[in-house]
Amino acid sequence: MSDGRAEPVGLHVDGGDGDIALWTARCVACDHRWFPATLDGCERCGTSGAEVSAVATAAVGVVTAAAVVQRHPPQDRVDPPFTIVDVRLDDGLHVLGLLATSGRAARPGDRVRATVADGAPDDVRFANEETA
Amino acid sequence: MRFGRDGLRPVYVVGAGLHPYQAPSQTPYTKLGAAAVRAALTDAGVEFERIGSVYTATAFVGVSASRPMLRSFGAFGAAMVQVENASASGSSAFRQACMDVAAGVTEVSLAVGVDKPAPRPLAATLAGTASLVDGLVSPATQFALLASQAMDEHGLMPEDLARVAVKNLANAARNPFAQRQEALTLDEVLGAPRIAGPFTKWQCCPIGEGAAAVLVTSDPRRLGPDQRDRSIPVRVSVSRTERVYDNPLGADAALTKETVDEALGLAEIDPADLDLVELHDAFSIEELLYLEAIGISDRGGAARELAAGAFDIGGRCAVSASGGLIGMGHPVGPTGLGQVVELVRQLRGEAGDRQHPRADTALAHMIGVGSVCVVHVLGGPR
Repeated sequence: MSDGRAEPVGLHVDGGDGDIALWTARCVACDHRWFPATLDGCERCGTSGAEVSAVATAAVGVVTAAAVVQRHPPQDRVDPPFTIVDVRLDDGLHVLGLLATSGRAARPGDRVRATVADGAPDDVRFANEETA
Repeated sequence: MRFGRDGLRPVYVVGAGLHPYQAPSQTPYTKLGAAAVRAALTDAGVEFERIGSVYTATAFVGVSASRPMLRSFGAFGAAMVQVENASASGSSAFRQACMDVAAGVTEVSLAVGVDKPAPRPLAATLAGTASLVDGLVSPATQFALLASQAMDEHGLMPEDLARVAVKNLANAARNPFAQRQEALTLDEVLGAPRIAGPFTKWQCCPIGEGAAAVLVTSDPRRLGPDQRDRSIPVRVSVSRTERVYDNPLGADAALTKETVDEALGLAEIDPADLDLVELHDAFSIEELLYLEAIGISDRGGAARELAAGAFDIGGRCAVSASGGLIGMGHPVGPTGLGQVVELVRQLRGEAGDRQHPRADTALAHMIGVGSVCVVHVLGGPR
């Protein structure tokens, strides 16, 4: 994956072979990683400058928690019920994501990967690997 | 910090008052807050003009809330400051008032919380950073994810979570100041409409309106001959913010452990010494996880002890005897102060139908989104 000092535009990038990579941030001083990739300073140790950089991280991991949302204030992206998942990416970083509605339900322990729908390249959702 | 030691004066609660927590109404916030302040003054037998500083906790009322609310008490020049710290606003206002009298800045300080629900954005949404779930994760969903993780790791069942609501709603039904006044069975709690994950409506706190007020001083005897018997010592105050944790969903429990550990250490007591605890139970799973984080239960044991009645009024440790956020309600600004009012009444032996039989030492705990944690230990030797 690529490294960079410039704060990336957007949350994700094409990781190749149809995969999605998330722009995360890394602190060389304390090895902390975080998402989204704000580069003003490390969220754990406060180091700033060249030791904080953006890293494209494969959006593949394991579900640690899943919640089906039955009631939620109106918004444009999805109608309830929808599922929010906490995913521990393979590099150890946790991210929250929306579960794709086309796949099967997710449970803790399931492997998921990020996808984008045709015509909606900014709408990143996680799906079970077997249905992604 | 511990009061009465380390160069700080002692701090005592001498007055406590509430306006009932309730569904939003047309009543102005000024009348809600003034009712609680007047009740606290009457409880203490103290004139308003003796108050040297006022801290008003509110998250939704708006700019400069104190003076309009307190206009009918006269104008004596007391310092007035608004405090916003999310759900921990009231707890933080209480801490500020305690610090004023502990430092000798003023003889008497007032902490009052008042709120009415209103749309206010979380500042974090204005930070200019996006996520994959913008606008999709409410507090209920955030804690439903935590519940999912805890159920997977500890084998908890939906009934285990629902029993928190059954207990707290039963306590609230005996509290005339609680927003929810109806005790429900386990089946009724489980059978209500789902909100997110395992949470039904009754496992999520209601956000309503209300007010709570507390008066503190360093020397109750200077306020009147009866004060010594009814004053309740505030022993310790600790306020912390979250650090970075390997499991972000567990941040509030980890922060709770850090904050309570520090508070109990300063108070030189063990978790087993606590007779009463008022917890931030905005969602049912929180009570179970925080009881374990505090050390009142062993890891994975809180659900079993809850089912056995250990946390009922009259049990080993009465948890959220007021009804907690789930039963008494969570008007935000007043909530942390409402906890203190409940504990003061319990420690005085004035809690009526809700009186816990062994009420000597108590702890109040609030989490504020962000996250902050504020803990106070009250009671013990006077």
